[in-house]
Amino acid sequence: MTAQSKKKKIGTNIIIHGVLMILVIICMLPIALVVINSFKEHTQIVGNPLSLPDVLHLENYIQGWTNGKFARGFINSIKLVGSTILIVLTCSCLAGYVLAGKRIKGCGGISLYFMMSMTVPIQLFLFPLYFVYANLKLIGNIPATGLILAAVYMPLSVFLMRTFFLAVPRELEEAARMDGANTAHVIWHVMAPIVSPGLITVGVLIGLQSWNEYLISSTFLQGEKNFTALLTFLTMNGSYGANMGTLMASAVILIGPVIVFFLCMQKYFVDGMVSGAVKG
Amino acid sequence: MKKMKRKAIAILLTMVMLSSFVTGCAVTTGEDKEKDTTASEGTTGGEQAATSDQSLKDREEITMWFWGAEPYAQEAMQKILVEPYNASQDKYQLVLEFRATVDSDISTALAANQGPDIIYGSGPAFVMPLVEAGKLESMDVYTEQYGWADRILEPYYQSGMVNDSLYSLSNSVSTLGVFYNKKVLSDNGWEVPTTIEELESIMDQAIEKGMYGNVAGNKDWQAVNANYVYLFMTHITGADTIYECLTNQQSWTNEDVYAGIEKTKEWWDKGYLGGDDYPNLNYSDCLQLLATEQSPFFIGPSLAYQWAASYFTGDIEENIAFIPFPATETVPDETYTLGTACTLSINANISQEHKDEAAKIIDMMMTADFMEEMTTAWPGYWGTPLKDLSSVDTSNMPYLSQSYVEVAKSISEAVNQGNFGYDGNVFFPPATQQHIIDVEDVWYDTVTVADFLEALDTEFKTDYENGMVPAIPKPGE
Amino acid sequence: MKKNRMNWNYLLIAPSLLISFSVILIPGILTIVTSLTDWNGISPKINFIGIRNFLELFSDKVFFIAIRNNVTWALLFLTIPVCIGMLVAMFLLGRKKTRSIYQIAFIIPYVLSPIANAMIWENMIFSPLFGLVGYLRNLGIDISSPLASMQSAIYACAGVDIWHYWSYLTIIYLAALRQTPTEQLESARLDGCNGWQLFRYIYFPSIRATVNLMFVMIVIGSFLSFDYVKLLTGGGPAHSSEVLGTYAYSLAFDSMKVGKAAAAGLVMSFFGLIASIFYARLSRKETME
Repeated sequence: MTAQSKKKKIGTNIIIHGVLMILVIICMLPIALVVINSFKEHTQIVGNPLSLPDVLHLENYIQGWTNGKFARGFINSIKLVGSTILIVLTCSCLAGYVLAGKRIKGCGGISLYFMMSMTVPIQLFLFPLYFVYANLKLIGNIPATGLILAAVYMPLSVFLMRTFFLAVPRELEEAARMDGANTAHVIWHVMAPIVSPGLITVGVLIGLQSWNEYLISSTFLQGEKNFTALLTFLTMNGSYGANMGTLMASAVILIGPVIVFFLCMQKYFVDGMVSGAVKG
Repeated sequence: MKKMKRKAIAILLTMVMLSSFVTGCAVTTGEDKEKDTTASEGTTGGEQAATSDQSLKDREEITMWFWGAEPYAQEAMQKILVEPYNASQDKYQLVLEFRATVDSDISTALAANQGPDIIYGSGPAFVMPLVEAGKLESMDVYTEQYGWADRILEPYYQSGMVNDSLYSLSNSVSTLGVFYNKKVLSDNGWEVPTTIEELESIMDQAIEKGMYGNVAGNKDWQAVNANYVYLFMTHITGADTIYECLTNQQSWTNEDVYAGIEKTKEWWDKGYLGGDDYPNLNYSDCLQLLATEQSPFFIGPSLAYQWAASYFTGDIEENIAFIPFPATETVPDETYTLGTACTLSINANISQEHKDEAAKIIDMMMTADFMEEMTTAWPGYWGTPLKDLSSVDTSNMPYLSQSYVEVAKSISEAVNQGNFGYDGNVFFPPATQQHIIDVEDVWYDTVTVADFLEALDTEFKTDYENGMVPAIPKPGE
Repeated sequence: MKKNRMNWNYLLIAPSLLISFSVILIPGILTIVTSLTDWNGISPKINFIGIRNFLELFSDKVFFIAIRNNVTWALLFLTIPVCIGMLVAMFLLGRKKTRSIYQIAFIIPYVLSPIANAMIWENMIFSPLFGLVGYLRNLGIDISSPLASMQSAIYACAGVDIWHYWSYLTIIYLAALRQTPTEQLESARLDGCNGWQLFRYIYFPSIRATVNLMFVMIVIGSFLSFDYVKLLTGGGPAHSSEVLGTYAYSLAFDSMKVGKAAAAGLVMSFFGLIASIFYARLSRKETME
């Protein structure tokens, strides 16, 4: 490479990194503001969100934690996400197996159904569903709400699991069957090890979506004791004009676990986002 | 190694999910009551519970849903309503839930014949469709039993009637008036305004100095728009005309109503409604701006005392005062637009015992003592609409509470003399109210005043035919 | 032997279908029926009124404002995040070492809930009291919150959602780009292609399927958009930022017109359906090529 083209390459490199850094700042700035302001007193924030705190007001966090009832909220969130993931993974795993191998008549029709059900807005089935649930006394029941979320995320999971099952070479299954394996054996011993990263991936993806979900959970989880962390936070946002510092601290408490969890699981997360969109 | 790690994660996740699934099934039924009492005790922050944990655990729950009030307000209700009630008998316990979306929560719950025992409503207009759908219990039996008709201010009592039966009680009077910062006025050499012209003049001067003329905003609560409509309906249009419109004797398109709506547009254009920041401020923000001397006035509901309590503290506690809306050409006398903070009703789909208890609790909230205790802790929301407020002792109250009691007493007197106007949340039917909230279409120049009123008239006629208009008391009586 | 296997498979796919049917399909059909009534959400009195709800929708000015905003939303999303995502994906393609770090930073807005994001932007950026807007105003710059103006409200909401969403596209495009067959790249480079030509003739055709899929998902999502508008402006000021989702929601909960809300919901679905049918045709054409 000539000296000139090397210079050009470094120049382009700097520009590219510059652009990327600007984007990083845009992405992180609002969150940085939240963290900075969570340590400040309310009056210090007025008119001056960019200033750094001189004293770290940790009481904002204590206040935010108790007022936001996060202990109970997080437990409820975990319960909701747990039940959703359990239902979705079980059902979509089996469905993905069937659809990937085109094992029944009507695979095309079923795929079309799932695709179409992704276009349905929640408002469209909220009322009748609420009516039924209320009469079955299931309002506020967390696993029952998990069932609804599972139904909402079912199409995406089915398509993703199908992609993962497609990656299993047919010969493996045929070989196993020739050795006398029945369907259960095939799924458990042959396919499961191969698709288990896929299960984790789908689990992480759906887990994240259901953790952040609020329309369905706010409708069906009525009753403060059933609120997820997000819902109690939403309540606080409405009635908290008086203390922005506490509100920001609560926001950090709310988004902290998500970011930490994401940092640990990002490989699976990125994989999940990618499959189905790319390989599918 | 990698495979083992993956397997371990998978197993761990599965275990977490399974255990949460299983516990999820259990906890929503059994341990709730205990969690409830510990949660409510947590919010009272170390207050001694009037009854022990153990006895509360076994009691049946009487439920009431409330809006998302700030923690100090929640504490006040726990201490002044819940605990005395729980201590007064040993079969039931009152459980309060504070929700930001209480209006839609109650609608959806009642639609399925569920919902709390005591129904909070944001006004009689909210209540009417519920009555029509058969979801609320008639309180005629209880009003006889407890003597509410004699105790409660006539217009407020009437507003809770539907087809000659009582279905809701207003918890508090509320009115629209002018909060002002004494220091801002005195620093700038302004006198407390007695006419609308003086008020407008001060606002102009304030805007020139870079302040707000009047802080106002509808962030998170679009219904604030309607406040200004009702305010000018009372003070520009005149209560007599509005009475005729509300009783379907006159069309809403008459020129007096037109003048009232036009006045709101005039105020909007001059920047009197929070300037550019109207969509970005809520009541709490407005009171904060008033406290930090960025505006001389906050023209709004007397409910605002409850937010004032957060900002007018310490040295500046006494900087705030409230006056009724100053004199206008049409309405020179001291007049109060009658609104309410909320209404209380009884769910029709609960057991008879629960209904009786609900009535008992509602009665507890309709006494001068209750008003006194609640206003001391939580000014602005509990001006019980009683005919006789003389027994309310303000001597031990903080400044804001005292100030608020004065306002409540003035309202009571003005009502007794027939000097009042109509706030939508008490007297207007639902679709009409909803349409009035859309007055911002006029402010933003997307609809003319004339078209707005035409549509208003149509909406009102529909409401009227559906029997959705509450009983309207005649002014001047 | 074969007969047994077939039975099993029907059973295997049954749970997912059952759950989806009972939660989405059946209530969905019930709501479609509701759109032909005047139900107010509470009263047991329900009257069948035919297509009157739809006629009312089509004569409501706000309905068309909402559709226009949804279309605007789709156009904004089909251009801005797609271009930025593609550009950044191309940048990251060459930077193997710093790739993961950038990805992590970019994707944080995406993993946060709309509630958190909306609240962060509302208070820390847009608020004239606490946010950047207030800060700039104190510095003397005459600026008001974009959420307050009729012209800019919908763009402000879309802006926050774009901030939330663009990294998703980046990651998808990056993964697709990495699957481009290397032989084609090598031979193109040897032929002396520059960056832009590489992109146009090698990369882009290779990722076409992904780009198409994302286009459809964006269109469907744009017509379902709800969260950010509801949380930031509620559809205001003066309905200028109303979208079909918030319009349907306020019909159901503010005006108590559940029948009409159902009708609006159907319109939302309709647009999404068109997009997915379009996509199905497109992908079928591709597999046939």
